[in-house]
Formats: sequence, C-alpha cells, structure tokens
Amino acid sequence: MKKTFLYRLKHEKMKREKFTKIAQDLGMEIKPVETDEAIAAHDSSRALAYAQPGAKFAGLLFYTDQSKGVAEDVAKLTDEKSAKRWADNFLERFDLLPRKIKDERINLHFETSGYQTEAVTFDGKERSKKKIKTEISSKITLNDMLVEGPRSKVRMIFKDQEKPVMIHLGMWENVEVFEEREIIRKHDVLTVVKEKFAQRQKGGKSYNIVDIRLAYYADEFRGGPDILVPYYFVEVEYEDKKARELGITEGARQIFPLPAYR
Amino acid sequence: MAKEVGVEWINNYDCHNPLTHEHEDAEGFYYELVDHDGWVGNFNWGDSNAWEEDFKRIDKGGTANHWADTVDFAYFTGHGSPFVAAYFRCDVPDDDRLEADHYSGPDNGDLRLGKQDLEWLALEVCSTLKLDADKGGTNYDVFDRWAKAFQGLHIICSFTTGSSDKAEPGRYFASLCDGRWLTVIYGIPEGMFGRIPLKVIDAWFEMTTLTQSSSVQSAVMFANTEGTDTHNDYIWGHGHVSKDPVPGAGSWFSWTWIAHWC
Repeated sequence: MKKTFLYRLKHEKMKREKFTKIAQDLGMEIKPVETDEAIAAHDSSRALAYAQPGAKFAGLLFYTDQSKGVAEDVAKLTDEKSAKRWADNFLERFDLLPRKIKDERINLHFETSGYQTEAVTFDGKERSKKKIKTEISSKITLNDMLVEGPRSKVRMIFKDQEKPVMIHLGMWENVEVFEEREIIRKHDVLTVVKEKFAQRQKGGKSYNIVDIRLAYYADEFRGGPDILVPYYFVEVEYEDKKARELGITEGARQIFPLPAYR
Repeated sequence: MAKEVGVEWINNYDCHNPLTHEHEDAEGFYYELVDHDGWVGNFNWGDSNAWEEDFKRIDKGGTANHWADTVDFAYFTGHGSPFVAAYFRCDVPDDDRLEADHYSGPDNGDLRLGKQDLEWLALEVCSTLKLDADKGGTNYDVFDRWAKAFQGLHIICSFTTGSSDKAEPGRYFASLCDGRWLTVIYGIPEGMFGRIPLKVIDAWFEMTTLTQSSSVQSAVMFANTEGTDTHNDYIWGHGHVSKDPVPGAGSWFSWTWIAHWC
C-alpha cells in the first residue's frame, strides 16, 4: 500500500510595501487599493493584483499590460533566455517562491523554463509560422509528484519588451505535511471509471481512456484548511460512430479529475 | 447600439456522455455581461432547447440568422471535437452536431458566421481548434476545417485538447473581458477599483490558465483583412473593436491560429 502526503499550503500576506515595490518594478507608480481579500493597483494600461490568504485564489499574483496584446505581431520578440533571466530574477528578488523547507519528508523542486510559441497564419494559399510570444512556465514537484493548478504555477508572456505583458504567479509561501494517506492505485481508479461508464453507457464500450496523470492540484480555495491533495486526471475519448463512418477517428474528449487518496 | 449576447449549453446529453456544470458555465458568461455590463441577453438555451440549427447557416437549413448571428458574442459549452464545433442532443431539430468543412464535404461546414452581427464565438468545448486532425488518413488542419466560418466573424476561442467540465470559465472569461475580474476573481468590492478590461484573446488565455490543468491547451483563431486588427479586440464598450473582416472586401484575407498551454 503506497502512501502519500497531503499538504497544507500557507500563503503570504502581501504587505503594501512589498506590493508597491513589485508594482514599481513593473513600471507602475500608483498607490495600491487594499482589502482583506486582495491588494491591487492599476494605471491606464496595466494592472497588478494579489489575492491574500483566505481568498479563493489565495497566493495568486496577476499582472497584465494591455499596451500590447498577446496575439499582436511584434518586430523582435524577447528571446527565451532573456525572458527566463528576467523571470527568475523577479521571483528571487521579490521572494515570491516557496521558502526552503527543513522537513525531510518534503522534497520540493521548482524550476522555470522558457519557450516560444508560433502563430500559424493561412493567407488562402499558404500556411506560414511566426513566433508570436515568449513564455515562461514552471515545473513544480513535491516528492517527485507534479504540482499544478491555478494556484500552483507560473506563467509569463513576453512580447518585445524586457518585462512581460502578463504574469500568472500562483504560489504558496510555505507547505507543511497535513496528513499521510494511502494513494489509490492507478489500476483501481481505472476500474472505478470503467464501472461508472458501464452504468452510464448501458454496458456498451463506447469510450477509450486516452491518458491518466497523477498530480497535486491547487484549485480554488473553498474554505477549511487549504489542503493540497493528489488527483488522477483521467482523459476519456468518446466514440463518435457517425464520424467514424466518415473516417474520423477522434471523438469528443473530457478530462475528469478524480481524488487519488483515501 | 445594443450589445447582445447569446449562450447555449448542454448537460443532459441523450446520445453523448452527460456533463454537469455547463449551465453554470454558460450562464456565468451570460449573466456577467447582462447583469453587470449592460448587455442585452438574446438567448440562453440549454439541453433540449439548445439546437444545432441556431448556429447553422441558412442554406443548409439552419437558423443562425435568427440566433447566433444576431448577437455580438455567442458562447457554447458542451462537447466538441476537431471536426465538430458543438455536439447537441440527438432529439433536437436537424442533427446533433455543427460540422466542420471537410467533415461530410469540402464546403459542407455548418458555420458561416458574422454576415449579420456576430463578432466573437467562444466554444468552451474540447479539441475544436486542434491544429491538425485526421480523416481517413488525410490531414485537415484548423484552416481547412474552420476558415470558411469567418464571414465577418472576428475570433473563435476554444481548445486544442480535452478539458475539464467546470462551472467557472464563463463567468471568469466575461469578467476578464468586461474588466470586473478584480471583483469576480479577487473579491474586491466593485466601486473601490475601476474596471480593467483585457482584450478578448488575452482574457480567454488567462481564463483557461485559471480553470484548467497544465496539460490542457487553449487556442484562438481570428481572421483579418485590409484595415482590420481583430486580434486587438476588446468587447464592446471597453476599448477598440476592429472592423469586420469580410472576405473579398480587401486585396488579401488571412486567418491566424495561436495556442496557449494552460
């Protein structure tokens, strides 16, 4: 019986001084507005907001600069290395990553990577590709298990400036072991999924399980202790008989998040 | 000029797998715009009242001219797939699917939108904007399948992969578009802060980052011609909206596809 930990997430209460410094670093010279739930600032084209502990997106720092659209063509896109350098420096300088954890039961790994996304354009004759945005994304693991969700990821989008036009930084300040639980085996999850479908599809096999992934998921906070728990993300594809007759093999898909512990 | 919105959603599929949260998803979009941004709600059809013909072109027996193409923003949530923009129930008029071009014939697609009014179509469904899709061993890319849908339509927002059935996407997306996201997502009372609208494409990408797991990829497809810049669109009342990209109105016409990992 394999065990896993459930973790309690602790989020930083963002102080006005720190928030103001972040805003200034992004070029915003404006006083923030503060409530129990959030702290935020905006000027004519930019906005920065942070959700304080207890809010449904606790720990989420979001920034948008609407002077440049994500899909807008630019002459020279910021390269991946420069974007990553800026991102890592920003996270470190403002202490926006989880603290070092002394508990030997917790092995936290965080890394960012940079990549460029291509837009594909069709002019009626030819398809052409052009790099349209440089992005930063994060890979977070806890004891080698992936951690994701809106409150546990870093996404940044750069255009032609040193600084990004969008930041989505969902991160906690600290994490501690909450409970140890048995992890449900993948095989057992698949059995349950198949049983449920057998009931709903009247016994007919009209679906395929195309993927199953195990990850901790930091979803919206909905009250109680802020617990990070593992889920299986089971992706199912439904057979589309009409389309199949025409030679189309891919039907409708759906991803089910199913708790992975008991 | 009235800003008009229409939504359709299906939970209770009779011939495809049922879903759970589509009414909350679509109605979240609808009521955010109607109750908080002065939009006129033209239709909100769910389950058996949601009909494929509401989006379908007239010359194929559809009534898009009475429904989808009478609003500025239409939102559908339910099932979809690379060759099907939306699946409906099987007991509704006409048939259960909005087919792409090349599904049953090169020019037999159901969508020809924007001749009257529609600027933006959000398909909160799986895989519709997948870049490449196979039919009988032949690849039909996103342009083969959906380019002809753009008859004045500015943008389609959707996904390239499977996604999860969630309640929140519609409301979050609308609040990012109308600028009320600091209230809806961060809980800051309205009135303490001005509205900070995001461009439609930026709002779609951020909404998907907020609601879907990291293995999900969202995407947009937009059309342009001489004198248009649909990729910079805000929704009506919140910033620039491009002229309609009408095929044949300029010396060139193009479609662009951009994806975003959530």
